[in-house]
Amino acid sequence: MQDTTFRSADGKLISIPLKRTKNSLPSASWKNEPTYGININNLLDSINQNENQSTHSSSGPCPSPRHDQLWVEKWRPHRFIDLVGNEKFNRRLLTWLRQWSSVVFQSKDTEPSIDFLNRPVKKILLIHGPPGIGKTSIAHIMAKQLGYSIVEINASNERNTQQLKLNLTNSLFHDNLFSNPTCLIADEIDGAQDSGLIKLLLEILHSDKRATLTRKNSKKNKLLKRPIVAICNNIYSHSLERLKPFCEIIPLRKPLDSAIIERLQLIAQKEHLSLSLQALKDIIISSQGDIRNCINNLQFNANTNARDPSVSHKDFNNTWFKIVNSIFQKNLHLDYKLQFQNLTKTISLNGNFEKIIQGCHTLYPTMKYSDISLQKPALISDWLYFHDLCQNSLFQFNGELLRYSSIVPLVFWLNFSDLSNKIDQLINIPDFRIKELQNYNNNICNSILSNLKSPFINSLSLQLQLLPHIDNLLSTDLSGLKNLPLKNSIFEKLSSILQLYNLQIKQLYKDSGPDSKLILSIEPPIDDLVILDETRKREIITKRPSIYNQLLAKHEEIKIKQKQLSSVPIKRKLAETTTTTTSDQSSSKRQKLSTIDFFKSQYNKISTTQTETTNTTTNTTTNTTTNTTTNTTTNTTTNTTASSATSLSDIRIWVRYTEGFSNAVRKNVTWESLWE
Amino acid sequence: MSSLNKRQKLNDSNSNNTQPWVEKYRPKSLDDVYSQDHTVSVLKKNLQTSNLPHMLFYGPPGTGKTSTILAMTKELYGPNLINSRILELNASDERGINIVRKKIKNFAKLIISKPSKDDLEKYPCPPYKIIILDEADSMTSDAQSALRRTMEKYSNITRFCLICNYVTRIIDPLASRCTKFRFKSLNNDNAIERLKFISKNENLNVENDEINNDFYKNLLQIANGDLRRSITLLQSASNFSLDGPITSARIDELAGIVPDVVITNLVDKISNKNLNEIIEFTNNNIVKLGYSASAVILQLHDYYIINSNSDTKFKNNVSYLLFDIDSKLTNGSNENIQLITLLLNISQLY
Amino acid sequence: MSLWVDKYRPKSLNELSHNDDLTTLLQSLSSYHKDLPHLLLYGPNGVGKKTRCMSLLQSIFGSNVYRLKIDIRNFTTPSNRKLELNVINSQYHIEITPSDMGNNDRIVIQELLKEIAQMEQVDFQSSSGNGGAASTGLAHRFKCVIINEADCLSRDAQAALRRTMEKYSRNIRLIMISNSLSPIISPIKSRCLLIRCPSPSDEEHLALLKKIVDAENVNVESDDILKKIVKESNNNIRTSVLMLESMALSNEFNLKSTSPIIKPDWLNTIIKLSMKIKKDRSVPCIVECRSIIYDLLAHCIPPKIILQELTFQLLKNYNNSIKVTDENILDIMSISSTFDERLALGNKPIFHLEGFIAKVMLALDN
Repeated sequence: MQDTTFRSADGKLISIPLKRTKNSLPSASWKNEPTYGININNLLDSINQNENQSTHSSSGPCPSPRHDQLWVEKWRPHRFIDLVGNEKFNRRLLTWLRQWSSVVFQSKDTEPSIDFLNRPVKKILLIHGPPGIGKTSIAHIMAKQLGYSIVEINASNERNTQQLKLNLTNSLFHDNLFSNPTCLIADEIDGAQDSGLIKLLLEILHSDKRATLTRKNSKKNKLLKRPIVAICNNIYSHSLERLKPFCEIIPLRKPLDSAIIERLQLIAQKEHLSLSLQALKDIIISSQGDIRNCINNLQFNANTNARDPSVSHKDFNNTWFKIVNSIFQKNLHLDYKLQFQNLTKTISLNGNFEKIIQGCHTLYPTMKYSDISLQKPALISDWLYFHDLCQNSLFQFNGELLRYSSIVPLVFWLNFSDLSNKIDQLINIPDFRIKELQNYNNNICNSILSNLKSPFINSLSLQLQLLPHIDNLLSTDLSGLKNLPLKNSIFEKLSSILQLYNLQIKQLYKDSGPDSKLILSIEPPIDDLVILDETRKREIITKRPSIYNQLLAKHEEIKIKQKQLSSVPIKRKLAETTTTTTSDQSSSKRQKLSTIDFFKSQYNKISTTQTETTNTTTNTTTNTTTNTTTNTTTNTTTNTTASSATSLSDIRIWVRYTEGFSNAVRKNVTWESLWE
Repeated sequence: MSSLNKRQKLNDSNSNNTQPWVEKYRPKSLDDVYSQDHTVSVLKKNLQTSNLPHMLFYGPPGTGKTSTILAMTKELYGPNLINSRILELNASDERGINIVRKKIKNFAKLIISKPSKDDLEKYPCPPYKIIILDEADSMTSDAQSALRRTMEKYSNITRFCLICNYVTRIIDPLASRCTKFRFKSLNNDNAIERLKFISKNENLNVENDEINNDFYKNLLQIANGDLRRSITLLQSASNFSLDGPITSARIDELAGIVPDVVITNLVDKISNKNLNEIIEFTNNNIVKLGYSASAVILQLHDYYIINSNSDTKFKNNVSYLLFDIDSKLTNGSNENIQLITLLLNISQLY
Repeated sequence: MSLWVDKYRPKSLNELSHNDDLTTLLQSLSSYHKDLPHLLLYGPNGVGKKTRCMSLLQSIFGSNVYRLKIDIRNFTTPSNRKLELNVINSQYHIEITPSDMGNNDRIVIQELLKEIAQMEQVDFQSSSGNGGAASTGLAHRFKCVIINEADCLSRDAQAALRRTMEKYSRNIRLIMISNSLSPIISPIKSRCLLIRCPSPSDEEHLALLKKIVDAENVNVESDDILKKIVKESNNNIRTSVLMLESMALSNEFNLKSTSPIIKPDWLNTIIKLSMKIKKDRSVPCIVECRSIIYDLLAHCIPPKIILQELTFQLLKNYNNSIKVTDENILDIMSISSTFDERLALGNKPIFHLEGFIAKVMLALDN
């Protein structure tokens, strides 16, 4: 093991002996392994070895079973390999975090990037996803795994901006000699109304941007040398709009059932439990994808030593579940009246009418009962209305009427109970899932609306009419169109629509499955909101990317053209004021475009996909052009030129830029700094 | 207080014509209040004795409740004193229980200032303050019950005046502490007189003005006896009728009344019992043209119940249907569906 | 270049194309701009209420009303909860949408209107001080407050409005825009000038589409397709223009009379649902319908709209499904009316929509 040296905030090299722990956790050992990042098999083997060793030692991640410990705590993921689901995103997360290690730990094995400190381009990692899928724990694990000490900031707790600022600067720019370098985790950044935290983060990022340009740490502009991980639920929150351009955005989704089962099986095996696959599946369904809940159920199951799954899964389900099932079952041996009384008692004792009735409602069409036509479902709808009204009294009369809801399950019993319903059914109430989806879609809609300055559109018309048609327009296949001018005009139109509604075409992961691929689609995802039809849903993956690809190319082209057009009047003005400007601005720009492409090919150490290169080049060109145009408008002085030559070839690249008011300010500029 | 300030300013700036006529022609004194003879006479008597009970004004909108109390306070205190003696709160102000506990109570507690000699000579200046709670029916019952004790405790220096449309919305303990004044719907003659006065003042060119009062009668009928609504309608109609006289048809249109032709056609269609035609007609000639379902229901009510000479049973059934749909509409349901249901069901009665 | 809906939207009163009566009415209103009453525009969806409203403002204040910006306002409720609201405004008007504020619309309206009422006074004095505004004839002594979707205002908020409208009438003119008149309480109606915005007639609507088609160089085989669009859009101009645009694009600017009408997915789903109900009346079908309804709800389609569309789709006679008799029509409408009320009063749309389907199936079966 080597001592770690790193650069402190004031630029000094400080070397710190690594803290030597008794058994080297993987956090420290990965760095020394020569095979890291190359051979996954070796890596896995070494992890397995570690695991084997650690099971022998007492303080390993898998301690021997003790009976007084909650399994949820015991089996909480401690390492990257322990994480369930979202593997692709987890890996992206890890890659991003690893890119920091060159600046934080001075390690040499990272891939070279365009940043002079080898930091990732986007300085903040933004994790978003529905609540309760472990966003926070993933961030913690990743940071721990790579040897950071964690500073967590919670937007909902800390309100004082001054205090917050102190905290941030302390943790980000001042090194603590006694602990590992810090990694900032900003939790729930979409939560608070007070956007103080986001403002501070932006401040830091901007000062970092300036500092990166000058490559110097100054009092005002500090280089950001520590990773920041931000976590939110609602990615379309208004307050995040300004932060998003700086963020590497990673969506987390609910893990797939199969992944959870794998995990549960592992636990069951380690805990010496034998459970059938079906029993595990039942557990998962009854806990609706919440892993924590699953593990709780598993432990309860193990502790009662119930080996029969059909008995056990009754036990660990909530009582409402049992009641619902008993409502549909008629017992021949019991007196009718007695049964009724028993049911009344249990239902009113349980008191969770809402859940029971929802369960009954979900279950009744799958049950067996005798009926003429559809009289019973029609009848029950009246009673469900009755229940709904009773529930509403919660908001008006302090829930006085709530108790009358207990009659509704009895009506279900009267109508739908039958002798032939013997086996308990699983109940999967979709309400919560629907609510979540609704929220998600609403957020998309609102984010579009808040960017729109049109008084003529309200959210309803946007949702019901405008977006479906925009989606239709954008996804129109134009490849078959022969008439070129028409085609161009259409593309121009579509591009302006994209701009108007603030839509972008981006590479996104579209489905949550393990084999999801990056495909081109629209961000914010209006197709999620608009498309209901199955066949059209499939088109998102199959047909649309190519259409979007075409559109994207045209869109960028049109954008550049517009930039040029807007620079023409400035050019004219420039020609009047300065005679020294010899070359035609626009032609130089075009030249620049091509030179960048050329330069890129010279410089092409980073292997990027075709689309990505076009993306970045266009981005850089637009960046540089905007820079020059804004500069020329602000100070109409002569342009100073500076040059930078590549070391690779003799080709010289001339860059014209403006700075200051006189020729006195001349500076060497490198490509790297221009590319920031 | 602030509101009265505003009002003061409004009256000062009478010269500009931004002001709605409703404000412009608001009665300035009790004598100006029309067709509430009983109430006015009682209040006048009180004015002389300078003693007032707590008051509760109730009655349909536009019958002059607010105008009466405002006019009266003016007569009682005069412009100088009015700011310190009157607190006017209405539904646009926050009137939760906290306000009742703090603002109202504090104002009620205040010891009254001595009026200047000048004022004493001109105005009665009785030794109490008045708190006007306009639109009191929109106060929560909590806030109302918090008011009870305050009313009694400071009754030596403070009088309350509650104003509401529906007396049933005021909790009994409050109502029993007040003298109730019911404001009747305006008597036609008086209202017409007032309207005529306004149109004369504003130099309006009204259709058939000289011959009969049909125009005004129609106006009042549309407004349902609500003088404020009639005045507003008159004002807006005058805005549109730059050339030529103001016609009843114009008023109808502005009030959102469905033209008689449409209604007769509709009734025809209903009696023919062709369901699809009824649906078609409703969609094209009522819903798409933007006529409101409530207006249609009202006019159908007039047609079937008041004007027609069908038998009682038929009227009974129709009125039940009308009631049913009207209540559904009040609950915020879809006009289109409800209206068609109503019309289809009526057609089944023929 | 933007969507045709925006491109061909009239910007001033002179450009308004249909219902000339109404246009002259608005014109006479604008000529009296010193004395604008409170307005309440009502009429069905997509007939151009907002367009008319903005045109009116344009004719009063000049085209600066279209120079919009978005402000974020903060409000604090009595329970100390903070609210954030995006407010679109221009120099002369401000726009609020009550559905943005949920249950707190009363507070927002009170605070906002009072704030504006006080702010504008200062503004007025300064503008009259330099005399510039007066000389250009734009003595904007009042600010317009546009309340969108006024039918969504809670009773409380409406009650709060009624006195405010009188009290601050010196500084504020309200323009309320509403789909229907019924949810507006009568005190407000009596304080407003009601302006009914009817749908364009079929001819007017057709002429409107033709104008766009000509301007955009779309080849149209015959007017039939345009007529079809008008019919399918239910005389909703916004829908018809959007439809026209996406159809033109997908057919390469050649509209044949047989070109398929493009409808939004949700509408197609509802149509399919109605077919399903008519075809198969059984419990398994209810289960299928349930999942479809869940899907629609998840895509934020309001339950009321689902019910309305479904009802009218059920009434239609298609060739391949069973014939809808008069009796059926009566039944469906009565059931729909009942469940419409339940949706309005209740909180669980899935119960009621499913109940509606069950009852309709039962009625069709008998």
